[in-house]
Amino acid sequence: MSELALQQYLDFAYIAAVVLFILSLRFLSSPTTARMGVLAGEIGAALAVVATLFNPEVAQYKWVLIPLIIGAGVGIPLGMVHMTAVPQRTALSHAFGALSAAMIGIAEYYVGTRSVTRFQMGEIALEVIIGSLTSPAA
Amino acid sequence: MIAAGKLQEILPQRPIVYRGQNIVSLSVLAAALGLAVALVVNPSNTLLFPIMVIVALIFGMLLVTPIGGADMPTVISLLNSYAGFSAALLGFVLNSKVLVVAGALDGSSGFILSVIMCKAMNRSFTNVMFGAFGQVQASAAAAQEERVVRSANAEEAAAILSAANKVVIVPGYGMAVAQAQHKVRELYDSLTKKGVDVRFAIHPVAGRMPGHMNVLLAEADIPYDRLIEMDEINGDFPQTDVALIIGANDVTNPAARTDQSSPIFGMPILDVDKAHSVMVIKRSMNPGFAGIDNPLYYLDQTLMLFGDAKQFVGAIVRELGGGH
Repeated sequence: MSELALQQYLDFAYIAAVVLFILSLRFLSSPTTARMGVLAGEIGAALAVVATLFNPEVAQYKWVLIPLIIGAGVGIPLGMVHMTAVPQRTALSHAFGALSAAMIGIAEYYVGTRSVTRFQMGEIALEVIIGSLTSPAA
Repeated sequence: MIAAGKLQEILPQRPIVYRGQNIVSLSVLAAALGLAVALVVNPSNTLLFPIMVIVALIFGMLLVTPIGGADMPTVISLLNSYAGFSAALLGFVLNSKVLVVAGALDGSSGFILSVIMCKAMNRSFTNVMFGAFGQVQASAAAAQEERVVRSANAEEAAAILSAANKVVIVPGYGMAVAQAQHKVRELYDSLTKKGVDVRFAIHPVAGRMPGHMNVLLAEADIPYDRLIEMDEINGDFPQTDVALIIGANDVTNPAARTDQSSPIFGMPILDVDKAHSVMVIKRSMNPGFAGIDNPLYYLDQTLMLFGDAKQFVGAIVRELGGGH
């Protein structure tokens, strides 16, 4: 497949994922459709992850798969907690999400330190601040 | 991490406060933003970057320590929105459109939800974040004189429930802790079988998470059309024979309507005190998370059912089964 065609497929997958996210929020706002909303969100997230794996920028699958396995190893038991423990589990998920955002921002800063523009620096700084204040808080 | 620790009760649930707290917290935030500005002015100043990260981490810890257990639903929803916004910004950094959109959706829906919950408690956003809700309790509780409460056992409770036409069950965090939702379902089934009209009153901030009660009751397969939101059901309480409160406290506290000195004054509540009789399943007379005494328990029509929610509901179900 040519690179252009691949890019078009990827863009299509991303748009589909975004549509599913929006539908998921819509479905979640009523108890009768909430389960469908969760499903739509899951499919959307899976679609986005799989599409990203086909991105030509992903050079080595080794560094995607190893963390993926470790993450799933932590995530699966976390998903099986008692219903009563769901609030703290949700808080933990936010903490991990924010932590990963902060760490990617930190990595971006050190990868691009030499050439980073002021605008990019502003984005990275704001992102890292929000990410790193959220992760210990949540 | 701190919010999760508080909910798991590894950390104390009570708000931790000290004089000048807001000034300290806000200056830490200002320092982080100042460092960010300095970095934008001079991106090659690599020394400042780790300091900024550490300062932001410290602010995160200061942000949640003064917030008590009762405000956690709002705060978790807000932290959800922060994590979303940070993902959206990350999308800009990485040039990933899907991350920008997903982060923005997550961020704004979390934010809208926090605002809705603040409105449900009739409190402003800043009050939740900086008000250190629930610290007035110690003095207020100490000033209470001894008052009489009436209590009943499962047999009496079952007799009252089966004599009723309309019952409204008000679930709260206590039902979640005792994992009583399946027993509540059995109670719902046996009362419905006897021709009693049973509905559930859902307060928007009941529990420790947005939609906490809906999730638990849905897990126990209680039909959705039996779960009624606060605004819709409040008008029905005067025609309700029995309001059965299972582990809910602050969301039923009539002091929110009448007592101006109460920390929850002005918060919309479920008007259970207007029901003909009120039964409260509760482990003890200890106040709830907001730590405020509840005048509901001293009313003439109120019966206290002391015990673990799951065991007590189970006992009522057994009595109902045996007495037909």
